[in-house]
Amino acid sequence: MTVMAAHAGLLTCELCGLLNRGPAAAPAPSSCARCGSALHARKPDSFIRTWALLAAAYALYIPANVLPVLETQSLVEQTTDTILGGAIRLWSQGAWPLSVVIVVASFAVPLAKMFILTWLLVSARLDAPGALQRTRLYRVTDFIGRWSMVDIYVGGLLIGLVQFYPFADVSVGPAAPAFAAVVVLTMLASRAFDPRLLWDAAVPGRRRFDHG
Amino acid sequence: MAFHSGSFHTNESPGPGFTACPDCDLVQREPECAAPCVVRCRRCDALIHRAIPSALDATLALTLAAAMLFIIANVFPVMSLDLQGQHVSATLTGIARAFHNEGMTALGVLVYLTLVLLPGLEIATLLYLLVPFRFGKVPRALTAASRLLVTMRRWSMVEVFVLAAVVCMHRLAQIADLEVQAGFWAIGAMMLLFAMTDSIFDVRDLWAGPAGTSETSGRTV
Repeated sequence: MTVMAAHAGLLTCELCGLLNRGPAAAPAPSSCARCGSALHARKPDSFIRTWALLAAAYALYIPANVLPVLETQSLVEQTTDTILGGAIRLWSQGAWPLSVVIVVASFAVPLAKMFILTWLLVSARLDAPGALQRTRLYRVTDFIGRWSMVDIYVGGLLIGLVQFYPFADVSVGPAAPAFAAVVVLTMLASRAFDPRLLWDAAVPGRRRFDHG
Repeated sequence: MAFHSGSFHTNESPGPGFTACPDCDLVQREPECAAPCVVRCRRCDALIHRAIPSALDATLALTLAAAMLFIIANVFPVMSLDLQGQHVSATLTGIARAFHNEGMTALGVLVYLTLVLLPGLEIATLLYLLVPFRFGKVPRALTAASRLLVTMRRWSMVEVFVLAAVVCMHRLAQIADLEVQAGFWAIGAMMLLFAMTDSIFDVRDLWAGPAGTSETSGRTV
């Protein structure tokens, strides 16, 4: 038989790992007996906070991909590129490894991350099977999110190095802050989500812990 | 109380040596293992505990090295360009300032936080925690500092910047003479040290008592 801590009235400290139990027939303790951290059965308001951050990320994903992210000006030509447009240009110039990095880190990863988090939120409510696979999916999502920052840093290096050039000017377009916001919001959303909610569904006669 | 093969029943009370998985909340006995070893959840394979001999001392050594590299990474440029007699170089702070000059201060702040402030704070917090431990003392703000460390970890993105610098080198190599500077190598080395720290340091060791002594108290609740 498997027992989950929260269903047995036990609270795990997320910081030091101590399994806390309050005195019998008393309300569960609110802080860890060893390190004093606040205790929660599940991350507080995990569902609603993850949904809110995710909705904001979806909304900003549109300007991040529609507006220009990089504007290059030289004596002969002026080009403005969206994220995908820039990747296509690099591909056509033969720089396909860079093109792949941009498409993966800046386009595919944020989108996949938002879809996966949406699926996790929905499936935790639908009590879908496969909690193990979904927990693994969550870990991957949580890990890869940061790598989308790569394009912001590349943009920063480019404008830092090229902006003082006599015959060329590189500037960052309005898509850049929107894109950075998508990265930060999806990272926050993934932090707000509690993978233990995926396992609560498998417990018969369970209580819901997502309220706090 | 009898526990059978690591399982736990609702009508029993978990004793010392029991823990719950951080990812799936399964109550289970933390198996005794001969260090170095890694304890993972029986059900979902989540990392529960790393038992590495002298992990705190090794982390302290790595952090001291990272502190020196951090200074180099912030003093020297990451890379520089030569074109038509003009010499331009980019430092970490310079990249943040470039965004600010473009009127995108929020992006500049984000870059400064993720590449300068948080990596620096991470190093400082680790030193604050580990130097007293080395001398057998427990730092006063143990809980607050460890919490800060765990929260910050995901937001210091040194390794992402290394990839970005490599991408940038390829992009600019075609149009100008690009030179890799000391800052880049320092950041690259810092990335490796942070990765090594990540693979040995377990914040839970901080509650096992100073100087790696095994747990004598706690765990009795």
